[in-house]
Amino acid sequence: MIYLKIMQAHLRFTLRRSMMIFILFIQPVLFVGLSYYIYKDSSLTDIGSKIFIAGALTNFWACIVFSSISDVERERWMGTLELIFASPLGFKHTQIAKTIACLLLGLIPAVIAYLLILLIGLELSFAAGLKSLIAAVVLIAFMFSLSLCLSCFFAISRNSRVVMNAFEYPFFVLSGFVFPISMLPQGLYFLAVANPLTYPVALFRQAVIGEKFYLSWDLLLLVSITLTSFFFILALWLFKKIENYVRISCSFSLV
Amino acid sequence: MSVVIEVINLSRSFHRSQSLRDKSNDTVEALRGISFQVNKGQVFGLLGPNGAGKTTTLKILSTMLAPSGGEAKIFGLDTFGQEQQIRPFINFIFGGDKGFYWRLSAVEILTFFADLYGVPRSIQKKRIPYLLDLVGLSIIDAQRNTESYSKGMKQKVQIARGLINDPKVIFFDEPTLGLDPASAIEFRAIVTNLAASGKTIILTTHYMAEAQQLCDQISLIDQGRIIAAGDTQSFIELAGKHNIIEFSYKAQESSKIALLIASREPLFHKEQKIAFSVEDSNKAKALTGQILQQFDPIELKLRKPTLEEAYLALTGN
Repeated sequence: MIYLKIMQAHLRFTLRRSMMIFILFIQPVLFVGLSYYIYKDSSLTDIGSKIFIAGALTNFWACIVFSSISDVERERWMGTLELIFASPLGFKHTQIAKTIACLLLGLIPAVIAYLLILLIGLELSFAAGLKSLIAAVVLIAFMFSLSLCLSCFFAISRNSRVVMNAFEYPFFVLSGFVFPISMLPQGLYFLAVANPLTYPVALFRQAVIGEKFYLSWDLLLLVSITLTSFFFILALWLFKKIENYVRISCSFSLV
Repeated sequence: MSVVIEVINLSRSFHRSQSLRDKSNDTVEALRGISFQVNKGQVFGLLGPNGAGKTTTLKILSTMLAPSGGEAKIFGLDTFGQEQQIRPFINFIFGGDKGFYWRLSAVEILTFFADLYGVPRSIQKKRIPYLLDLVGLSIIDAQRNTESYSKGMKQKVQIARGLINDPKVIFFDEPTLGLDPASAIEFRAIVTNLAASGKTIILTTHYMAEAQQLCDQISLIDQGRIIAAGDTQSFIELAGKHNIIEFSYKAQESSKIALLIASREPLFHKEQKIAFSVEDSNKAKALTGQILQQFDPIELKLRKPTLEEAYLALTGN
């Protein structure tokens, strides 16, 4: 119940930021348009589904980065981070509720991308069924766990704003949001393989549009679930650790 | 009276670096072993110049910072280690524009923080309008985004936020910063009423008249150390200024003033107005006689020093 109240407040606050309005409503249009021009002259089939995945996932990630991770930095600058931290509910539960709210917000661009593809007149041929559902759940759970971990790192360091923007665009390419990582040059390919976000994204792409990956579906599912669990456990451990760390290092406030 | 807050030999240091590359080990000692205690229902004033360690003390007590050494206890519970048990019963109000969601209205901010403190919605419905009324914010203003608020209105929201959980212990860090005189008077009445209802309060302020009016006990911090402590009167006496003789003289008496200054250092001397501090009533009588004999003063006053004068004397200003 308390999570619902915090989510409600966070959604209200987030939807009043012009940056989020851009990410939620304008950016999907731009990304779908961009993906359409990238794909339209290619020999690939089922480009509607590929554009949908690109448009939905890139904006989903942008929502996570800008409304959840960078939220910690924003709260620090507003001076509210330490108020949240010193409240009985605390940073952990507040951040979990906010991240869930961000995940919900992240579905808005997906709906916009879907409608745009229909508007353009492209065909969408998703592989519905259990596999797709499992892949979607694993992907969302992974994003949730990773976001919690990153928000802890952002809370620990007062210099996190330096790397904040680096989290958005490189991951579009290095995680296979827009096109499969097999299309990347060798150097970037190795970076993409080392990127944990690649695996749940590949799982989703494989389940929904049957795109091949260097791992089989079963192995990909196992890796994705293992990574999700790892980041979730790491987040819980970090939440516990930072409770004392931030008060010793004074990283929650600017003073 | 029961002790609510106990600070024993508290110290806190900060490592300061200018940038990511800066690996220098520059340590700032914000607190160097301060000790004090505050009883239930008392208003305790922490005074001192900027950077003295007042805010650091409040942040340690409000569980936002860890001490580097010593102990800080509220209701006998350590603020570092037993903070979960303390947090529901305390709150803090910091001066200035920080600590604010600018895109939310005052009502939305108060609702959010009430939720963080686990205040049930049924209680929120009564408490939020009550607090808005207490700080003097109209319900129409309270439903507007705080982005358009004046500094004083923002400070009123901060005060209401700090009272949202009906705390037993309240920390005020320069709470009247930015408030107009009328609002500051209202705020002082709120603090007086809170103390009368049994709340324990620690207050930092730069306004000495405010401290003199509100505080039962005062500690003066300078460079992380307590340099004077006690009630307002004993604090003034500690400064060594028991009486002040203040008089205005005529322009043609300027040469005689130079002779007087040569024999006794004035407390202040500005625009034909001069003041001296004297330790006891006999010396005060003697100096008054000397002034009346040598000058034809426009105005002559014998008065007790203010807290501000004691503060300036103790901090070496």
